[in-house]
Amino acid sequence: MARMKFLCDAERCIECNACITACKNENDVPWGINRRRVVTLNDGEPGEKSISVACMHCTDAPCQAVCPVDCFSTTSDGVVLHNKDMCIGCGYCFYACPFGAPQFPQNEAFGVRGKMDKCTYCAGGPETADGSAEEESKYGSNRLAEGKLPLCAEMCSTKALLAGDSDQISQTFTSRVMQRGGRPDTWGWSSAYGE
Amino acid sequence: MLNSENNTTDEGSRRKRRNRRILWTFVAMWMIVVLAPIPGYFMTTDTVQAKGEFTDNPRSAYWGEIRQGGSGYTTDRAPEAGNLVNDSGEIWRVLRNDTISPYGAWLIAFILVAVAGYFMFAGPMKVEGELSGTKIKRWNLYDRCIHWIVAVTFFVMSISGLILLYGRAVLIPLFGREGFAGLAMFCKDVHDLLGIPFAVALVMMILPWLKDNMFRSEDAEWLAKSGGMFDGSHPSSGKNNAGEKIWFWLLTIGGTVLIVSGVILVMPNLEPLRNTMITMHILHSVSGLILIAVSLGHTYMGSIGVEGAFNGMVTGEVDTAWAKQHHDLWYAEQMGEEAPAKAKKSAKSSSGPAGLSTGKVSAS
Amino acid sequence: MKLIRKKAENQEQAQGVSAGFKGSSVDRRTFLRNSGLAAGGTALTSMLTPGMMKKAHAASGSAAGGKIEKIRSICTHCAVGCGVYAEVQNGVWTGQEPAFDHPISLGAHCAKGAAVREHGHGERRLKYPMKLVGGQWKRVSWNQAIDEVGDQMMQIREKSGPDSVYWLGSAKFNNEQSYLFRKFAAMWGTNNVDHQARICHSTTVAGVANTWGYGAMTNSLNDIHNSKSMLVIGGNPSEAHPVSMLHIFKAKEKGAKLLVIDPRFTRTAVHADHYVRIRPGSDVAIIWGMMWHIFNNGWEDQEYIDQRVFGMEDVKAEVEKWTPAEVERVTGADEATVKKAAEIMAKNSPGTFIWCMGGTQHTIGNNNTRAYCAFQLALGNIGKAGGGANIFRGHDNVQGATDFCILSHSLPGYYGLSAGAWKHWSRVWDLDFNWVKSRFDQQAYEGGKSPMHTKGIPVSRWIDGVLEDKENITQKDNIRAMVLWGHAPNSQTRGKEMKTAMEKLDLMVIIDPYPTVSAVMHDRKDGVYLLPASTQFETYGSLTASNRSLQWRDRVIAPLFESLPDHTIMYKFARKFGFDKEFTKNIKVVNEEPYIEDITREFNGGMWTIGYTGQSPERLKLQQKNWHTFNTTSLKAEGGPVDGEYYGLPWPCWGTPEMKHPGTPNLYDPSKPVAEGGLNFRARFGVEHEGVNLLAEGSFPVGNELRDGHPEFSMAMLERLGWDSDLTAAEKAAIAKVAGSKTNWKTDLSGGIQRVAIKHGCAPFGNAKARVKVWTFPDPVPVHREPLYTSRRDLVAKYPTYEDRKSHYRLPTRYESIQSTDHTGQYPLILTSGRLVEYEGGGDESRSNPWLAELQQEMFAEINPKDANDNGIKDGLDIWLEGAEGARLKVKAMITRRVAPGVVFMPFHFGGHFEGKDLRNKYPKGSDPYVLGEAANTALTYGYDSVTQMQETKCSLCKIELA
Repeated sequence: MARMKFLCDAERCIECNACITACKNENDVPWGINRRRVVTLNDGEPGEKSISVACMHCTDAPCQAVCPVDCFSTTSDGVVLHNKDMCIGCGYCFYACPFGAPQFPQNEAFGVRGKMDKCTYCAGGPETADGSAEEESKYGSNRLAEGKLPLCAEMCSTKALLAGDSDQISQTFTSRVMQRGGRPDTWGWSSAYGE
Repeated sequence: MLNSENNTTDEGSRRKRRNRRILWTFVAMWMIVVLAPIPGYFMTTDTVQAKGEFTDNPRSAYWGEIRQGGSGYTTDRAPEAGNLVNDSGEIWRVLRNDTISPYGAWLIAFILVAVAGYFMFAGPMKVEGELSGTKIKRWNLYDRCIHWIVAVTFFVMSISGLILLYGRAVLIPLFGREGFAGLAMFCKDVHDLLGIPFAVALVMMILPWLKDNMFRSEDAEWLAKSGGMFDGSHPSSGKNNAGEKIWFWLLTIGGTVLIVSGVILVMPNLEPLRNTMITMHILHSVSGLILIAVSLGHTYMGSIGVEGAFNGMVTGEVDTAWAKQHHDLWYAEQMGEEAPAKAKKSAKSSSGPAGLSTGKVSAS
Repeated sequence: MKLIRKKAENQEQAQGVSAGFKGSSVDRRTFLRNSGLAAGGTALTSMLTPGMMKKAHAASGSAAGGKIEKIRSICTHCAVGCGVYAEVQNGVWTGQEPAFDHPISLGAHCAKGAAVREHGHGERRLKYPMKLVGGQWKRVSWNQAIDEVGDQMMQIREKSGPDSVYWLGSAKFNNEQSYLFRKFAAMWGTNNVDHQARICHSTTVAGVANTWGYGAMTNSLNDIHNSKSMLVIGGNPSEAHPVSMLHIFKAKEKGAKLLVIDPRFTRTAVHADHYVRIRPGSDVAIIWGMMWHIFNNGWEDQEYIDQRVFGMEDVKAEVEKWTPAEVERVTGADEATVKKAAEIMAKNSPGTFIWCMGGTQHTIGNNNTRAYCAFQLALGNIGKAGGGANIFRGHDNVQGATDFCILSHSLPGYYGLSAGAWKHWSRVWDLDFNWVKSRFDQQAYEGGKSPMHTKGIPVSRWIDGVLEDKENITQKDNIRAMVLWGHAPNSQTRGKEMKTAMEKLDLMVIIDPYPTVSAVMHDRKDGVYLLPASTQFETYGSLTASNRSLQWRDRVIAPLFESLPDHTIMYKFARKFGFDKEFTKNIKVVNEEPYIEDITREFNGGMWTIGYTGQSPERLKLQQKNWHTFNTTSLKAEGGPVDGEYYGLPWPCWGTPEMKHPGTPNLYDPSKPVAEGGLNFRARFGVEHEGVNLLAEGSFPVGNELRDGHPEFSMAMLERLGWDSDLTAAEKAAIAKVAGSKTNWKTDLSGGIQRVAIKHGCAPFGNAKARVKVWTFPDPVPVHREPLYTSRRDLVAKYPTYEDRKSHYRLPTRYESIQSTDHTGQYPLILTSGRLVEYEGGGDESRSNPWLAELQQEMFAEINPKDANDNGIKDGLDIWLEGAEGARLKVKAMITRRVAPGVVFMPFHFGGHFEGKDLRNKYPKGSDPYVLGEAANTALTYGYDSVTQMQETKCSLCKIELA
């Protein structure tokens, strides 16, 4: 069975943020919610690396484990989805997620956060009919049902962000690493990491 | 007189010191219970990270750095968005799911079993001898109102909190996920909103009751005898016995923790850091669970456990016999007497004058 | 449910963006698609602009759904030319899919490209024509606007001559609109017409064209796959051309070395094998410094130089002066670093050379670009797959707009402004030359030449055209009316003076999909008109990518609101001015809209110089339908209906469309026959100079029957060679009609001369050497000169700037008089500028796109920790940045080692704040961009290239202090 994953090749990511706007575009994500973000470490210094991060659709998903209403489910493709009807907006998934993926549309006093929103791997929602208007308005698009991969990865400017079956993308990544000689060969790497 | 005065002062300060010692020991123990499991999880994480460093990939150091919570630049303006990977959520998950939940459940179960066992074994504490029929004012209207406000809000918050913590395991099999989600949503809203009256009432209860809950010399003996729970004795006690004082202080400390952590948790608009929220959540659930567990004991004592106690908090008045038996020193104080020298040893020996109308005591 | 963003600031702007999101029963997209259905309810409809409602109701769909049309278009942001698949349902743009089968982008997009669907919303667009009345924006009808503007222009024309109206065009036009716009300006009767190429790559075009013939990118992005080394100088493709990095990484993973030379440690430099940090403005020094090592180690390609390069000895003599010590003194780069850089390029052949604004926007921009060319010629890298001068262009069609010469110094196809050029285009237009001439001011000014033949005022200097004393301008009067047609004023320097100039004008007309900063930066109370233009997704036509490939865009959606396509607006004005008959003599006009295909066919018939003649609309459309058939490295179609053609028929695509030339993938590559896309350097500068042969020696394309260098073809030459017999009777007749045997390959409207030359394996433009010494330029061999506002006073004596000039493009131009004053005491820091990936150009469009605007909400300045500490500035605090001419900007401080100590960097896309003042309330209601900020160029200073009047934006001076 396929297990869908994301993998970001830090050697190729240039922080162009296409993944972010592609996500906004495909899923009509409003201002203030970022299902995906790019983080640049050592910004402006030797050894700078950018990595695009969103929900990683973990196999043993912490969000799923801590959700008090058990609204998360993993699809047969390995995509972690959550049911917005059930979500009570408690924020536990946000506490648990190592990647900061869960987003909340509101942030108001008395714990009012609204329904959690996160990357759906462009696979819609768990309870809605594939590609229905309801699904689109509630969760965004369902590309997986159409046989397509998440738009962020599909539109990545340098193909740094890979999406697909975990075996396949790790194979792609490994072959790139082999081609590069296994070791990043960029200016300043040695000074940044003392090699 | 001078001598005796000196003696009293000495005794008083010794007593104070002892009380303080008891208090601090108690706080320390409580802290240990709460914090003891945490280092274990830190150590677990360390081992995982250490494993990574042995590989040859130069990127491992880099990823290690990221896992440590290294932060970078991002266009996302949410707080901590620059933090690529934050492991602390995992610690929280393990603490909440594998430590706090099961131990909390065990603790509550233990108390329930203990109380039930005690009830079956010893039955309720009855007032020994005849009720005098004479009532003495124990709780004024303010006390009673505030007590019940706190009690009711605490009860509702406890139930809703427990549902949020254990509902997934206990109630989903009964109601199904959709059914439970509605209940959980209701519980969350109730829990978030009721926090305010609870917090206000708790403070309004604690402050006026402080003076009656200072530990005094007789409390040691009371504790030593476990309040006579097992030997049927009636150790001396002021208005509140040592057990009630411990409950009071637990409630004060635990309640403060609950309120502070709760306020931080329901104020996402103030954008507290994730680690703060995680820490607050742990404090909140641990203190909540302990208070819930202990409150079961209190509820037992205040209802079927001790005959007359419940009525006392409803009507505000207790039978003088009851008062003499359970709170001899207070009773004596109310009667305007010096504490009888031997009263400490045995409440039985004290036999207060009955039928004296002092304004505080009225015939029923 | 109302959604808010996490930060409270700018909250108002964000409202509406969040309308109808997740959790509500229906979102905007669904609503639009469902068109007339009541599903949205009133709450939602109130979020929609009237135009969108109209749009939605007009759509015919009977139920939710309806057929999804998949339309092929090209991204409207940069010149990489990424393919776009737009999904349209009931006339509403509902989806965007990656174009994996597009040969250039392979499905990739950057932040901007991935957000183009927002054009289908256009919430912050300018929605209808407006005019400023007493400081208030008032809605007017199109007819009223055209009438009022037209009448005022005619009055100005009457009194001050046609040169007092300035027609500032745009690189956002497609090819057809660009061509039509230049034609429009010609018929209005002025050369005061220009566009953004002046301020982006004009020094490239001038420098490169004067070196080897054509001023364009020689190879393609895909061809970089063949490179063994890649040098990027003054460019940051990671932010400016992100999709090009796809190709750069492909080469890199095949083992190619990436070398980056830049004052900033850019997001591109991060991925480099070797990085050289230089002081801004020391490009010539670093190039000569690298060549010093090349020549001293004998790494140059001597055979190549002997056969194909003129003047390398003179360059060598100049390079001799650039010893490692001197290079370090001027650039700051030490010997080992520079030598390693030179070695990477010399030992990994072929190597490509990429440059952008960092090299061009200088007072010595033309020297920089020519030094780059000399470097590539010394290594023999030009005219090779994997080599070349890969000049990344900026706007989506800036290459096309340049080729159609929306430029004050030339007619389309770089024909220039000579009588011959005007006569050529009069023939193409089928108009009497004398009528065209009559449209101009008939007096003579500069050197006895009439304005028809003198270069107009360039866009970089229009403010001086307004503010300069009338006596100092070599035309009848000052500029009195400005037409800013698709132009962001904040992309130009000297903001304070621009404000003054705007206030002095009689009339300002802004034609744009957005109000732009032009609508708000001045304090005018009237005399300003805003006319809504459609975006390129609301019309169709061809555009030219950076690599000279022409791509055909289909129309995605109908024009939104009351906007009109640019060519329709041009026609409206032409009719108002009374030359519509001449203007569209060979072009069908339907509903006031000139028919695009007819325009393409008209320029096919005239653009012989650079081979825009073979790309008929039919061929371009067929290629577009078959873009999946092209090889992604060679860009050659493999089988299918366009078998053997190169993608986009990259110009020169010689001869007529019937000749079926496949286009030229790599310029000057002699390894292929000319008929199959091969070429050699152009014989553009005569056959000899000072007695030295300029023609190629022993180098020629495969199949060249002359087997050596040769001059450009003319009828006379064909006759001499006896090849005239290959011409058809029709071709001969056409040639006879032009100028008989004097007719050459550029003026022969039949394409016969080109066809015959190519038949014999010859390039129609001759076969010559490239020249690294341009004797017609102020500095024949490129030399280093310090910027006008230099931080290094110690270098001024040795590397002074030029003397002031009295008339350069009709205007006095100052050099020495500015440099002579020392400003470093008051302004100790170097100020430079550049791009962010999220925005483009002046940013009015991209800052109005919420998906992009959210990512960069504040204008900032990058400051090195040292300078920050020296000035007591902390990260994230507000600072005042004062430019060397006194403009003060309030921006956020970003402390980073990305810039060197002593250098401050600002992105130039922001606008809408002016010297600390927020101008949001001056925008017409509902059309203010989501994000506003100080324009970097407000603080940038005087300084113009000695050949092209390119503005200096890359090295000025400033000071910073805590706000």
